[in-house]
Amino acid sequence: MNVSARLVGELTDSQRLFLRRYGPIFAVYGFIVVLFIIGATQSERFLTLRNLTNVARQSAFLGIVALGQMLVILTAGIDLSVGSLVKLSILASAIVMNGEVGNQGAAIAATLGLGLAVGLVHGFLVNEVKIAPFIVTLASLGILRGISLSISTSPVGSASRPFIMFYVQKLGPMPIIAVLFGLLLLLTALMLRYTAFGKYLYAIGGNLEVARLSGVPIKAVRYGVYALCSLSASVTGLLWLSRMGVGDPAIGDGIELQTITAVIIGGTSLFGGRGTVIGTLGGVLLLGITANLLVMLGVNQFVQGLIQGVIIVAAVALYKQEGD
Amino acid sequence: MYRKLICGLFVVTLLLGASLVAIGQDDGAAGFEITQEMIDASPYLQSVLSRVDEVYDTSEFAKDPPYRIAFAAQGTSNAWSALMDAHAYWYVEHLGEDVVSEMLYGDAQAQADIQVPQVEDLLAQEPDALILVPMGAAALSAPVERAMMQGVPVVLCASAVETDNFVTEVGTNLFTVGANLAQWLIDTVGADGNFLMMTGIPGVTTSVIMEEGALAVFESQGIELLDNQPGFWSPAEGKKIMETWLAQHGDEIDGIWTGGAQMAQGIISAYEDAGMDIPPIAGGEQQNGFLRSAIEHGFPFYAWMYPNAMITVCLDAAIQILQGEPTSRFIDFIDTLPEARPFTDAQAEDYYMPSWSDDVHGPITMPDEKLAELGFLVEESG
Repeated sequence: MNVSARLVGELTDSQRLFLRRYGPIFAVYGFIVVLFIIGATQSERFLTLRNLTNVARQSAFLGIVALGQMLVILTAGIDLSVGSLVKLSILASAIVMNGEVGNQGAAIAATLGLGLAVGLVHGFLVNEVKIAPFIVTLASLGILRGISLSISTSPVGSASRPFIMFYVQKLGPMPIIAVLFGLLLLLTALMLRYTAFGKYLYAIGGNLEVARLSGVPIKAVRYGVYALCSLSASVTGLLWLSRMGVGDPAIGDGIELQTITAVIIGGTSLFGGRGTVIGTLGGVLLLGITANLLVMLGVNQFVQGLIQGVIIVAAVALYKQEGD
Repeated sequence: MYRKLICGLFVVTLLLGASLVAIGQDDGAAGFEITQEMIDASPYLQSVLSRVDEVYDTSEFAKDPPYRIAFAAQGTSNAWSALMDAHAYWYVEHLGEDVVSEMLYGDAQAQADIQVPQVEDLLAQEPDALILVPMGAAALSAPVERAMMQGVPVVLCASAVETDNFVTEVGTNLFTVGANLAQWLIDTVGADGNFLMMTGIPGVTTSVIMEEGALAVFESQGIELLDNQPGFWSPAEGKKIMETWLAQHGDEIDGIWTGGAQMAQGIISAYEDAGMDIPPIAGGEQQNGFLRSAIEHGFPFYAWMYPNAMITVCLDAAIQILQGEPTSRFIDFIDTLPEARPFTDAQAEDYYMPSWSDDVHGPITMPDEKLAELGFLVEESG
């Protein structure tokens, strides 16, 4: 038995429960503090308000989808299609908006409607056809990507001028997109803590059979959770349109893995039933700050993948020790 | 007597001048002319031709050195871009810290969705100028506009964006490059030949515009291509497509247009495997592996150049802007790097460098020691 395991073995049940629940959060924010120290000592511009708000805005793009992904993973599911749905959403919104202010409402409604529809189809296939979420969303990844690339392999459509300017708008010193992410974080945390729907997510992910016997409306919850996840991807597609000004089919590839990475780093169990919003935020910030810091330090991009891999292994190994 | 002598000298001077001009342009380039119809049909041509004579008043960006210059690069995705990065670091060192105190660097891994947030990260460090190798003309337009709005002058390097709101672009007229390659093929084989086209990556500006220029020439002369497929600037992809073409068309193929030497290498390899003679190829480059194979097989080719060393011209442009000097809105790198002119198989031996590894794209302006440090030398030069 190693030192850490011996220490954990000497803890009381309540202390062990506390560590199991909050250990990952301490770990991920510990990593973030280390990155801040590195950033502050290596680059005089890392701690400027401008850079920190830049990181906050960039993190919103990954964070919003990661929130949706976390909800699905809490129920012991997974959504591999979010990247492709972001891609299709940016194309759909750009084509419908077509640079016209008057088309903004229709573009937003159509894009969110698309996300809702995709999520409900996922829910239907998982609930009624009894296909595993991994298979359903893996197939969806290919289908949505194929539809996107058959629409266009080069940029199409465009955002209206006010929609492009939304990207640079601020509320006080904070970019409005970061504020939006903050609001969604708060709403998700409140939902998980204070609503029956939130508690059902943990119940389904914790033990499906017990949840069923306890009268949890499993199908309804699953419909809801896949719809919310797909909606989060569509919202992110809209934000990308604001960022780029055009519908670029190059966007979206690999987002599914980034969101899963952020959620795992944040301490959510891939087997469901355990995870927190604050942990997922930590995972998102950790990835965002790492990417920012690498540019600040002029490091090649492929190093980022290497660092992310090391962080995942280190974090999961640490959580496993704390949870044993 | 004096009058005859003066007249004689005048005639000799004229002949000498004419000869020098002719030698300077003797790159095997074909007699292709851009027509008004082509200009009307191409927004790219309209943009480039209008900017060639346009000068940007950069006085608003003038400041004292040293400068902090951000370089949003394609990144370490292939040997061409790795050498561009190496040229950039070498040239900054060569210029000295009293000119460029810091070069901020972003590695986009050739992906627009990575480059967009990286440009934001670079701008958050408040550089004096931004040099951008855009990974997507449309995708990078909004970030370029935001940089200009922030007061950071933008130099586009090796590719373009859709917005016109930048200071200058360093490159070459890609439409003409594509068209010249096509015209050389027609002149070499004849207009009744059977031609194939292999383009770069679909949607990438460099590839799209070169294809546009080539198709304009083929179509204007009533030539129908056997096929036109993307080879993704990859030897492996190029070989795969060529193998299919050889199975489909065999020895009917009279000439091949290709958008880059990597694909040409794949084409050559497919012909080698099939044991067939290689037809004329329009679209080689000063890429050592291509040149080695071309010399070995002795087929006719026409090579263009897209030198990674153009980053030095981009850095010079950024410095010129920060010194407040009026700057042309389109800088053709050939004016600064004359060794980057097109050439044909007749000059293959002159351009092949035995000491370079196969993946080196010339011309190289940094010293051999730098190439050796990067592992691009196969033996000690000289």
